[in-house]
Amino acid sequence: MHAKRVLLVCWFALILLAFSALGYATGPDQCNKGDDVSSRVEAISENLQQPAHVFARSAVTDKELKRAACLRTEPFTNQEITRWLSDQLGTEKIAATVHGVAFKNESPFLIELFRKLTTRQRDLFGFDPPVQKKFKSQCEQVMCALEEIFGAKEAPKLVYMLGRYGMNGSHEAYESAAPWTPQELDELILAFSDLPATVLPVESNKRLVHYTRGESRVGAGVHANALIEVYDRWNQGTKESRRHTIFHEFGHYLADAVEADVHPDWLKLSAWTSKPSRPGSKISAVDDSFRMGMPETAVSSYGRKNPAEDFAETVSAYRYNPEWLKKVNAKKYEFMKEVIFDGIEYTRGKKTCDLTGSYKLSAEQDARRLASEISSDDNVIDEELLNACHAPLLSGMIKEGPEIEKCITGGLGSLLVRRSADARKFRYGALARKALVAKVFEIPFPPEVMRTIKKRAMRKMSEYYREAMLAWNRFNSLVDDNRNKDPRQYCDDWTKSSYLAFEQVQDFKKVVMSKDPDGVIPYEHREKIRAVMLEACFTVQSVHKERVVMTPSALSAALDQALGLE
Amino acid sequence: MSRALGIFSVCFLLSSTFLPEPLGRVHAGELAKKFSQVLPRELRSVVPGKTTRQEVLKTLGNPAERSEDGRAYYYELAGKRYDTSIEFAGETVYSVHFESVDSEKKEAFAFERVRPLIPETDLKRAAEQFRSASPTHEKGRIFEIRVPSESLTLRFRNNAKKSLQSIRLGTVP
Repeated sequence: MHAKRVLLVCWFALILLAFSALGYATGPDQCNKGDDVSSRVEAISENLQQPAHVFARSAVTDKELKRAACLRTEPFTNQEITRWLSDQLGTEKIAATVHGVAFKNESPFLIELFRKLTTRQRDLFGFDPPVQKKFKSQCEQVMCALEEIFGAKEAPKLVYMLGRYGMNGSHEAYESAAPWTPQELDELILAFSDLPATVLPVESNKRLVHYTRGESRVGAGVHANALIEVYDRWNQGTKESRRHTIFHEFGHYLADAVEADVHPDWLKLSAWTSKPSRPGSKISAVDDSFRMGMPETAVSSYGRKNPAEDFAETVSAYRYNPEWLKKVNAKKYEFMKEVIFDGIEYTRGKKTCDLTGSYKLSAEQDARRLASEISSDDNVIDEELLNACHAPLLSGMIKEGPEIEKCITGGLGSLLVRRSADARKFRYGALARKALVAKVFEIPFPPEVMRTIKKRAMRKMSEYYREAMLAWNRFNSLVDDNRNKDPRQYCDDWTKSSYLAFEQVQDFKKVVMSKDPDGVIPYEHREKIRAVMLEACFTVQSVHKERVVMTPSALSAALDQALGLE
Repeated sequence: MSRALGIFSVCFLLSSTFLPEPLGRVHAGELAKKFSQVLPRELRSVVPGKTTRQEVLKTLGNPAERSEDGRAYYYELAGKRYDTSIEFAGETVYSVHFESVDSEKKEAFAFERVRPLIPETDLKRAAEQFRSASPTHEKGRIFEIRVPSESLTLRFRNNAKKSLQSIRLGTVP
């Protein structure tokens, strides 16, 4: 009996050594080359009645991924993609030339996608690319041109990836990127479809490329990284491991969006701490100086590396191996459900694959209801609107554009979604609310609600300006002395002085500065304030057809006119 | 008339003194000063190369932990263990490192907003170092910019907002 135990221990040691030999810097679920080793671990652990993941590098084995709930295996067909696309197009048609290709009678949505797929993107540091390629094509329609550039099979898939999920897979848009094959694109899209439909897109133009092929020197041992860049090694894995790798990278991407993997709520779940070896050496969730105080809460050995890997591995476990995650740590399961998966679950016995439990959908519904019920004395709405939409409202006073309505659908939408989220008792409230608000780009309010809200915001804005005008009175004598100047010079001087008056009105200053308490970007706001006042002054002069002293009442009337509040 | 002239002069003086300069015109030392606004208020008075150990203890109290050699003090000033570390050279502060957790400031100091403030040469060097770094699994999650002239190191997270992750202020050589 004793000898058997010794033999068993030796087996473990050998298996652990084998895993170490596979290399630690290879990314998630990278036991594909060692599937035989994985199955041996599974066999032994079954004998010991211990889950394989206690020893395994990855949270999900190929077998478990295949068994996961609601997993689509057939690639999306061209018919499905075309159907989705036609739903997005709308009726508007325009003509435009993009990078040498002249489009006629084409949808603006498609032209925008073409632009993103063919524009060389700036690098991470904001530097422009050295050259922008010009394309030669006689095509007048976007899909025709894209098929010429990327291939007939690839083009619709790239368009779908970008339009539906916000992922840009174009090798024309990024340096050191290789073209994806149609089969690879199918696999990527299948991996995206593993997330609830309400989760993506997070951004409208996120890079997802295959690094230049055949460069074994670069990225050796790495399957993919946070850029999101996939390497040759990714191709060497099984179909399941490739899908899992992409999903793991998405785990990082989703964590990035709300900075969830550095949030104290997440760190507490496994008692993650990190003490820098010297000040400045420890910076983020990716540093190896982190220590997991509760290693038993990790879903895999790779998850013990740092909070970021712990996070991405837990995202994978939630989706492909939820029973295991629940068993390891029910709190992490709840965290994922609230913060990443929009309330959708994949455990057996749940009604999965539909969006009935989606927080986002129910919050949007709530927001529309709340918008039509906003009471006239809801000061929070006014303050929030002014905070969220101060810049577009200011611009709107100079020249009205679509920005105000866009900001209201976004800004007020966010506020109402937050109210809806507050009503729901989240366990991880702060992050869950943040994630929910980030998912809702805009709430399309009915036109009559939009009109009321817009007028309300403009009126509030005007109140602030009126307050500033009272301060202006102090400078009246200056204006009187400038009577003889020509109207333009008069307005220039007057605006400069009124700007100083603004600065002295504390309430107004508070609003201007609220988005930027440390004064990093006041310049833009201040410039707009000056522009508004200049415009108002010119309005008064032109209405009276002569030079008129800018008294508060004259300016008040000009502002009302500009704001449409007469 | 003379009163009006007086007011006009005051206005002119005020406008030339207080009207903000466009972004990008930052003088030496101002960048570190600007970024020190990210720090919790009590930490702003700790100046590398000037503040002494005694002054640190007086301002921030006893640290949550000290390094074994006593060269570093660790504090929790923003809700996260070890979010602040102060390194000493002898009895004087050598550097201050702070991992920002205040989401409003993270956004106010997001890379896109502060990029115009950072010297172009430092940006170019950071971009080049990033390009030539080997592609580990972690590459790209965080990117770093060093401004040696101000002994300033900034790290940003590579998310949509490129939010500020941490800041290190050192002693200016």
